[in-house]
Amino acid sequence: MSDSIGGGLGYYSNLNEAQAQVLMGKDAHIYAAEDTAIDIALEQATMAVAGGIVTTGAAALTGVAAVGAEAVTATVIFGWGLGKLLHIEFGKTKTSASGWVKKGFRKIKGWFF
Amino acid sequence: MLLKRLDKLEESDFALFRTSFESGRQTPDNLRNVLILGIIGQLLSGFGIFAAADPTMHPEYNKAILLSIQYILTFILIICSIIFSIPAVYRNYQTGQLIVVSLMLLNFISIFPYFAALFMLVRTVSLSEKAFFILAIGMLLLGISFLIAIIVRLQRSLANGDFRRESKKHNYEKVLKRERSTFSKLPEFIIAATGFVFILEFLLEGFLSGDIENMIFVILFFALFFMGMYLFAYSVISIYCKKRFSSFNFDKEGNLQPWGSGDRKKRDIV
Repeated sequence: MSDSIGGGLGYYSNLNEAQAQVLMGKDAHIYAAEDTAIDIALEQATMAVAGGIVTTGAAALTGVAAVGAEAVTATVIFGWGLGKLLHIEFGKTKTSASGWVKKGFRKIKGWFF
Repeated sequence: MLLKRLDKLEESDFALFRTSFESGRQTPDNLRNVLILGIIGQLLSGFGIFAAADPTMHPEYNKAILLSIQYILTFILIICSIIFSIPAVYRNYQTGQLIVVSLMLLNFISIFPYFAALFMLVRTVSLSEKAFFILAIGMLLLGISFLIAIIVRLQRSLANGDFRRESKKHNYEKVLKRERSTFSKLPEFIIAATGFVFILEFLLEGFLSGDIENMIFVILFFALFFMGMYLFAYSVISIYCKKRFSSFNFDKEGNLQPWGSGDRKKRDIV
């Protein structure tokens, strides 16, 4: 299907992306490592935000589900789902939200190196 | 109707709902922190939902209405969050702050997953526009009736006295201890769960085609929608208590007021 959600996940797909940009050897690996770090950081941030919101925002729960258990379930589903959404390529330029973050990172890096 | 029934109950009937304030989990300062986190979270989910509702993909559906409903809600909540993050405001209007936090939680964990699941469903399955709107409205009505059912059930067990301090059904000490330890394991858990989610993503990418993955996404996010409704039902009772009893509020020094320091409903009658 044409609009199935493509990669952007993990080191391997990031490396492919780097090689598609005519980067070779060490440079390609640096590029892929940076992209992977950004992926992990985004995922971590999403999950921390979701976990924090549920554990503090929810009222006192009794019975089967404690607040902690609810937060665990919600965080895992949310982390997975929102990560997937942020990797969807949208708009006319076909760039995902995490793609924009990576672009921004490259721009800032360009000021120093 | 429901409120009248709740008004008949005594302060001691709501003892277990006070644990979240007594344990120091929902102090006004903690709630301010969660409001600030919520602004970031809602912006992130705003990006996510825009990606899901990409107008260049499947333009035959009129997704703009749903998307603008979600964005207007989010915008209002972000403005309210900023207002209730100011110490001078939230120290005087603690009930208002709790209402904003509950609505923010509802938006983040329930309304956003609902719209995201609908948009992802449209990307995966071809539905006629009529069927799409019937599904959307049907799901919403189901969610609301679920919310009402939970509130009615809560009201009944409150009337039975299941939420009293000496109740046999729920152990008060245990609940309080669990509330106190809620935060302690969260950081380790988030780090471990990130790794788990990455492995899950790899497995799903490797063994399932994009369509089945999307369907799993839709099912899980609709489940999250109902979970959010469940959480909101408890929040409604918590807000009610905070509005009615002084002992659910914090004084100027940030200490919880003692039991029996005031009942708005009783004072009106006497």
